[in-house]
Amino acid sequence: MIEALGTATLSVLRDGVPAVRDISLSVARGRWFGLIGANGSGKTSYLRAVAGRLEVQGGTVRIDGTDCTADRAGRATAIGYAPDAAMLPAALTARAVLGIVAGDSDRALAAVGSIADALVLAPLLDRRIGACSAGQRQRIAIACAFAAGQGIVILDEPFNWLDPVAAYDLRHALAARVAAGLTLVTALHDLATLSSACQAGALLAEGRVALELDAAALASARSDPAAFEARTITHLRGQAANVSASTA
Amino acid sequence: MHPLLRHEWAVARGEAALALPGWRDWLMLAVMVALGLALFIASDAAAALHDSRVAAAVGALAGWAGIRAARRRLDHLARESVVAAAALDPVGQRHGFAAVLAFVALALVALGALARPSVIAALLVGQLAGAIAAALLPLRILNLRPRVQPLRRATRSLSPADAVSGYQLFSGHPHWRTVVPLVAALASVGLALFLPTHWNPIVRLAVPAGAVVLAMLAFTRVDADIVVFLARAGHGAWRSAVLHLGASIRYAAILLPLIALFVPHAVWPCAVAVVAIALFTLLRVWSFRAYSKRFADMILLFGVAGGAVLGTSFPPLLVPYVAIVGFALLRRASRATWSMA
Repeated sequence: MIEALGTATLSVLRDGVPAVRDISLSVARGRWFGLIGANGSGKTSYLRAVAGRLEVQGGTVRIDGTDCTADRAGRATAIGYAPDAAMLPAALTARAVLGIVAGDSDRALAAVGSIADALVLAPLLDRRIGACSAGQRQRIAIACAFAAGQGIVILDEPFNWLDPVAAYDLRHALAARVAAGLTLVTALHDLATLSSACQAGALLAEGRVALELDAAALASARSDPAAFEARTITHLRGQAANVSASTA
Repeated sequence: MHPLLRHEWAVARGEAALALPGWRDWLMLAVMVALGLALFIASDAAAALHDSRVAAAVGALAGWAGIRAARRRLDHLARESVVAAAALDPVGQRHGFAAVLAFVALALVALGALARPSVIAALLVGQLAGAIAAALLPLRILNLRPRVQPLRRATRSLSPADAVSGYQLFSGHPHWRTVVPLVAALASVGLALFLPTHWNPIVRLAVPAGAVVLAMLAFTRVDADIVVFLARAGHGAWRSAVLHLGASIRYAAILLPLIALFVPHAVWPCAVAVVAIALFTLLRVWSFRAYSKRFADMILLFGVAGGAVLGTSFPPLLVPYVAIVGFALLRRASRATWSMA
């Protein structure tokens, strides 16, 4: 396995509170890695810190085998990251935002490629973002992650707000891009997507890795989705009970 | 152009186009600016600026505020924007700081040219000193090192010290709603009551008024996100303002009768401080309902500057000025109820 992205004992604070505690994970190049976990389990903090959007408190982040922990700007440059859709500048159009990300809107659209079709981006390009619905903003935010053409992309719950058709099309477009060599890391709440689209994954609980899912585990999940769902839910319930007990 | 500046320029142009969509809006802004400048030239504030020490202090304050604002903006962009990499890039940061320094310097040169050209050098030297101080000091002075806290501490209930707005203080535990304003009011009265009698009479007025200003500011903190949430949840413009003013109203209701009874000579400065900050809070809440946070902050800055110039040059005009500004904001703020746009 050639590692594209990795962390060793990574810790992150949010407002002085530990959100990520000693997470060690490795993501192979050209694979789709899924992170699942309860709300507040540390998925977003982990992904943001890896992508340079948050400071790292401890541990290391590696990109293509190089330690980039101290180089926050380098991480932000090397990784395509979809911003929170609600934080996109409301006064600008999608075309303007994509142009700013890539330096030129035509270059950005070329880099987004087939993902733009899945997101039905064309009718949104010249509309002010403030006039777009939550789902439309989500589509623009996802396009931003691909606009600069990085080989590693991180998407935090990309299927939120999307209608079923867009979610279906996006899932297939992302899988095709991964098959073409992209390394993709997504936070997910959808076990079906995790088992059907991802090649590896992890379950986070209370800022820690509670369970790692390798290719064999996900292959087994695909063959028996109901059993996988039941096992994962039981695991998540157990972690939730542990969290309740530790904070009581 | 660096992507960071390109982003900021595009956002500023877009926000301006949204806030001032027609030529009438631009005309009104031009008239307001021209009026403000004319009042400034005729005011005591312009005369005070003739003293190079005052000019240096004004420049230092502007330099400090500009660099602090730029650092906060860069911090926000590095976390939340599509130009995170550009905001973290040292070259981008230098471009950002240079743009802010140039903008502030331009404003100070214009100010100096209106007041007295000979003070421009003092303004710029002051700006440089303020900017250096703002660049060297940590962004979060009260929280230099992140505190590692156990999870139990993080999940405890909100206390008055955690509140980011007067609304939270008002909506908190019933004890805080009564006890916190009561303790603050008694402390303010106690301070006014036990000031040494041999002190200068002006100081004996200024100290209690200053304490009232600080307490009112603590009670009336406004968080733009909470204001927008209240509007979307169906609270009207007046109701949102009253919710934010709840704690301060209780404070004033306890404070003013006690001050009138025990420290009558300080009642007027304290009452003026209470009314001024309550009015300012009212206008802030309405402006956050009516406009985006950045544009609302800009409007308030211009509004307060205009009010200060007016207040020092011809105080009776302050009443219609506040009424006109308040009415205009109320009209826009009222339209925001239930609106998700």
